Amino acid sequence: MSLIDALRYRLRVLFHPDAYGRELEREVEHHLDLESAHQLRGEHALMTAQDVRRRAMREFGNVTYATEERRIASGVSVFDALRQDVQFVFRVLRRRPVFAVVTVATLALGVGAATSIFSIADVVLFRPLAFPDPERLIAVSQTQPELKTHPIRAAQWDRIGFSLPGFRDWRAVQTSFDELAIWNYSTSVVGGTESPEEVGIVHASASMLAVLGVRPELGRGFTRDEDEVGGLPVALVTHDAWVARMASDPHVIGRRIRIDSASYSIVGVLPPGAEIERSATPTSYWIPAGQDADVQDRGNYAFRVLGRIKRSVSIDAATEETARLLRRIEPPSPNSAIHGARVATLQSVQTRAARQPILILLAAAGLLLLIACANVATVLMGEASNREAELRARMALGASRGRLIRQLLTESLVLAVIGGALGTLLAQFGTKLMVRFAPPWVPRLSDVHVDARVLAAALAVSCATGLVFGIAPALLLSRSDDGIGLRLGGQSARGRGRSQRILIACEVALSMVLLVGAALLVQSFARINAVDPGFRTERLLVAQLRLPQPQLSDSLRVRALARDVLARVRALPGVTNAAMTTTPPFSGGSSSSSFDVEGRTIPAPERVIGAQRRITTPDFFTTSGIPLLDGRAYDDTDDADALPVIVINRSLARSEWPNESAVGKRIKWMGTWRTVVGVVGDIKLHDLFERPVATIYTPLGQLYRRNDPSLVVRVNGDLTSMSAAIRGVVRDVAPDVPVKRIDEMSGLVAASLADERFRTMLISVFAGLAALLAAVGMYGVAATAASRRTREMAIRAALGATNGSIARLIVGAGAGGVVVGAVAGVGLALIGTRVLTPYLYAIGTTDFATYGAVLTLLAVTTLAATLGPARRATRVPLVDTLRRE
Amino acid sequence: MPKRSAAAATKSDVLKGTLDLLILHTLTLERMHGYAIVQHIKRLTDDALHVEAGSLYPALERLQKKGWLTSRWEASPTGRQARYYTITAAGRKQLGEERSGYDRAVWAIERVLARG
Repeated sequence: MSLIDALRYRLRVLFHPDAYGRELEREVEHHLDLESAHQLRGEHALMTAQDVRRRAMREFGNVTYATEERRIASGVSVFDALRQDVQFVFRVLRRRPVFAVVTVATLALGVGAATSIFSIADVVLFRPLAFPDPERLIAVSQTQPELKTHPIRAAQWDRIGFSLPGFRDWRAVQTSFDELAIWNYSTSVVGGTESPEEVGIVHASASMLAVLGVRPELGRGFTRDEDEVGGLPVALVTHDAWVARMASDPHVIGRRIRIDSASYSIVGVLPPGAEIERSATPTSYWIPAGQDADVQDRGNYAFRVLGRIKRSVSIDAATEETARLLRRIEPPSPNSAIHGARVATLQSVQTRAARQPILILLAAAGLLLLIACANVATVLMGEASNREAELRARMALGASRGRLIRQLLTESLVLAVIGGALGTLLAQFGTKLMVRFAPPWVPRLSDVHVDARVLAAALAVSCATGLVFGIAPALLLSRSDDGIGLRLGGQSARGRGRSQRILIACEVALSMVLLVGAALLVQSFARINAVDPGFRTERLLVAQLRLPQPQLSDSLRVRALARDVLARVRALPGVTNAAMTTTPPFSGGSSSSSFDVEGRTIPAPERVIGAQRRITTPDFFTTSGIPLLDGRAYDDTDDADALPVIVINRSLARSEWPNESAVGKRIKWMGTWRTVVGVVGDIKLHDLFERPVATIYTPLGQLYRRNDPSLVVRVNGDLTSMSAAIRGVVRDVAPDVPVKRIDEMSGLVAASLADERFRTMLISVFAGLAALLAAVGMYGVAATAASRRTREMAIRAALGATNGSIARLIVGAGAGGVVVGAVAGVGLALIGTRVLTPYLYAIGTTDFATYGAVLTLLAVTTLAATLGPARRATRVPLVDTLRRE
Repeated sequence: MPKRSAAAATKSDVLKGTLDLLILHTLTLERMHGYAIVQHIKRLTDDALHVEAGSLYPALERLQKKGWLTSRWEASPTGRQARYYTITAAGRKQLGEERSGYDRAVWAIERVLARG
């Protein structure tokens, strides 16, 4: 009860201070009236009303004092004082708009940047997967150490998948896992020919739901029978697709859908978040993995494996057992170079690629936050020395030190709160922006939001900075608390000048790290961008077709399709040339086969790993702009009845026939001896940094494999209308063949650099902000020095110092810290940027020119930041200054 | 001039803790407004203890803040609105404690003075 009474009282006092104040006055009035009445009744009945009142007042005591005492007792006064302080702060800040804006903006930037990156890192790297017992969810893959040196497949060496039969053999004998499942991902076209749309499809075994530990939201999962060749065509729909495509229809079970040209019936809806891996095209359906007749082959390592490890089994033990069993199931041979197994948590596998870059960004954002804090400290300290005189005056006029400290604290807090609030907004915005621009493979980006804990931590750091450095001047005041300081003005602030210079040095050093890092990344990016892909990517359209199953198996129909479609496309106005190829460059695919060279008896590992396989129409080289270096390209006469021929690329020619022409040599390729008739230039296949990789081109007329073909079309018209025209031709010629997508090749090349672009952009933005903050800090120091030393400058001027020498003094005041900071910064950058090594192309972390450029930028910034205050110092009316002092 | 004699020293110097005790005790009789509390104490002590308004009202605020009193505006017998203070259950409990504390202090002081 008493608690509630007390609370009610306090709330009233707190929220209705004016009404409460009026009540107090009324009560005093009442008291005085009663007292007056009492006086009248007593011995002073003859007194005048005025006298009565006066006596009553005397009896009451000091009304103002009593009321004030009462306010203090009621607790109002604390809030009053706070309100006064805050009002005062706003007055002070309005008078110093630059100071206020700089502090608030600095804090906002620091908090915003750090919070955005921390939020992303938290979700992507650290939060456990949203499946039950996530640490028992294990990804298993096979390893092939020979691949480590392969130009484009090196990253795959420990990510080799399983073949379906290999997986089944292993699952039957293994003892480490409770449950195992295979899966892979592909894209397919749904919506038929009217509105073809590419969607992600997961092929999963029946046991996948048990491995993940989830249940269908509606319906059921796959049965074992459905997971075999000849099983019923069934599909699960993902939660998102169910909501988006089927309007969350509760009666969706049994509905039939078309994926490519096949029909599936829906048996269940997956729960939200049942996403094994994020992909650029979100998954809409799951279909059984084991139904496809194509994957029953032991040499087709098409599947990835997930398992639930037994509670009693360690990852090391599981790795050992898996490697041992796999070697027994499939003994190493020249054709299968699988040597071991990698067993790791799904989380670590998912985040492996993102980990290092995000940690680097995290470090960069941390640096920025540090710089922001140092900057706020610098600005506050500079401000403090400007205000020393004011504070001393107020002390001399009777303000208690506690009151001054409280006021300075309030001031810092107000700034920190405003800065923090803006930082929060910035973090919201920044997070959204980063999620938008991040490469699509980064896991769980859709879950990213500004996290309250992260935000609280960043806010705490910035508030602490504000408080510590805001209160410093007040504490310094107490060292010499008489009026001496008042007379001396700012002269006693020398020590503060030093700490400011130290802070500036720190800021400069930290900014150097970011600037050097950004400069290296930008140059590296420019150099990657300048890499010649080996063919002309502009105005080259790539249309990826998807052949439905019957056509895909029929080489004659594909050849007829190529002939008809290409003839019609070439006839389109604006089309210069057109060709068909399998696995076009920069479209993500890779297909390779092993080969033999006539006359070589010792098998070389390169030939086992194989050459990239491309099956094209003859015009492919001229259409793409790949130069012919030797011999001839194949033509329409190189058909099924003619001598089998191939064209190889320069790398393959060089490695097999370093000292002679490759033309006329024979290679056993796809089961047939074929004659090399020409050598063409190397082209980049996946990204611009890869080393050239051996490639063999075969005419479509002589070789057919079941690979979806693509059209490459050289155009000189408008890209959008050309795309529409190409789609129209394909629809006319082959109504049942959907066009998956049409892209401009240069766009695909740019997309292959998404990671680099994102990283470079973000670090550059951070570095730019850091440089800006450092410049603001330097300006602050110079401005403080200028105003603090006005009298000194006046004396110097009076003694004959020139404007130039005075300006030099002011610039020099800031420069000392900058030089120290720059030297330290070079050292820090040399160490710090080493983490960037894997992300740099054709530039070292010790690049002399980069350091030179950054140092020059720093020098220019310093001059620019300090010149203003220096010029102002020379323009002070010096005689006035001397007289005033 | 009112009687400003020997009692003058004690008149206004009601010890802080004692004032709370007096107020709480007074309010156990009935709810009262501030002036009535002053008058009541004055009357009982035969003008020996004079509670100044400057001490009374802050004390009333303090006691409310602790939840020992509540106040309400009500019509007084003269028809005017006055703020009436009421002791709460917590206030009564507190009174008991203050009372025994006071008794102990008085007992202790008596002992000292008796020895002297």
